[in-house]
Amino acid sequence: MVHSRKNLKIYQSRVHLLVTFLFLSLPFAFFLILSQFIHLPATTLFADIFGSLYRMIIAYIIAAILGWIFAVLLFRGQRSAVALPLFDVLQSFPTFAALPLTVYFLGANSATIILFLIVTIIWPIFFSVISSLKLIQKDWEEEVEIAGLKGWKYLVYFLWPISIPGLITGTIIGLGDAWEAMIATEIIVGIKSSLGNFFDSYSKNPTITAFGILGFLLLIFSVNKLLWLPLLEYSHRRMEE
Amino acid sequence: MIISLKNISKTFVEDDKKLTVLEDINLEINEGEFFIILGPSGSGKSTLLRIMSGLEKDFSGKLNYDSVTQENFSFVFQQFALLPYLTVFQNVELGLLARGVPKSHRHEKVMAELQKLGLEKFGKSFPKELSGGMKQRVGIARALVTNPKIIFMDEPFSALDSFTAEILRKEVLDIWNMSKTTIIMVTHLVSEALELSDRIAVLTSRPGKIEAVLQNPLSRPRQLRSEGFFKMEDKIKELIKI
Repeated sequence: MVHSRKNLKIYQSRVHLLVTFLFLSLPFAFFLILSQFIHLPATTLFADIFGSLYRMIIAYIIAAILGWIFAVLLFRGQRSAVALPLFDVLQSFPTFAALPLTVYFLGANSATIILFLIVTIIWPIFFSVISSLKLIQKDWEEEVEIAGLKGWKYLVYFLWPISIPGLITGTIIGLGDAWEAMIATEIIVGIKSSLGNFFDSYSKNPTITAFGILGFLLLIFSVNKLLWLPLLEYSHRRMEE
Repeated sequence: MIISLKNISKTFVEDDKKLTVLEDINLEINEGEFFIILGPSGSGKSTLLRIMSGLEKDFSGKLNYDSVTQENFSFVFQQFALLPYLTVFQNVELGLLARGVPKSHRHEKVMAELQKLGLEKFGKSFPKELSGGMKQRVGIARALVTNPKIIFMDEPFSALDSFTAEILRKEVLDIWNMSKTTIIMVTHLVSEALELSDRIAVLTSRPGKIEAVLQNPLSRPRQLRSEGFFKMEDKIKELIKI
């Protein structure tokens, strides 16, 4: 029996895709209106937003690459038995305890914040990718061995597709933690051009803080609902047998 | 002779307990023959097939190949083992991709196999969209596409309903008649073994030992309801004490 292939698409139609992009631009429209409301030049507010987003994107890319590589190297065998308990302890390390020391060595700059974001994002990605790779069936392994997939082809055509659901789950959890870590670190480090700086500047104005948080939540909600959650659903559907 | 096994034994160790699943297996398989390993559950027949195909590497005894390597093998799995995130076309293409066959040639070869198995309209479908019978057709197309010298089959029809299994058995026989590729297949069904095989190795269970290697005397095409067929069936069932 052949079912519709439609449900294997991330977005069901071009209209769906267009609406998604429109919704993704909604938080930015909100911030534009907010900047008029609080008499803050839009360029300053957007410099804060994009400064934070830039650090978040850089941190995410590095964390995703490193988390995925570590997971692929350590998901099975002898190394796994040693590394997994060790990494489980490491992920519980109170990273903020090391913040003053990091500022001392790296300075109060973007590098410090990016480092903290990497440490926050990498663990959920690492453990989620591991859990996806642990689901590899013996039959699949044997088929891939018989087919002769080796080296980079083994990574690209076998481990990478199987790891995607874990990568996306880890991303959602990791970014969820990272938004909070980002604001806290930016406020503590006192860096300019950041959302942390925005909230710090308006700390005595509850209305603007509330609207700022609302816009921030709208941004997170849009990214999750319109990008990560459809990707998560899509990646799980692809793995259905 | 394409494969020979001498004194092959296999023991699993779990929680310091040893479980011998195969003991002192000696076999010689000839090029181009349809060889069947027949035995009840727990006789280690799938383990033996995996040892022969090189998938199981931890065993004692000697395994020799004559002018073949693992590159010349294909495997048809009981539960199909199709990669769920690849389309039918991509699943069949995998072995060619691994061997570095150019894209245009790959396309041509995959389409030819899909056509042979009646799957040409399903190249873009995903495994979950197919019935069990069609999934196994994909498994067979995937096994054929690399022009293997030996095809290993691990109970390839046991996950299918009896009607589909019957059709697929005939298709496999047709393919074997045309290609004369060596096929080594595991089954627990005596009638299936008699319908398909040139020779049958009968295994007894726990630990798996070869009770007998029988030449199938029935002429092809096999008459499944003939007196000779039933006599052979009774003889084999007596051997494995069913």
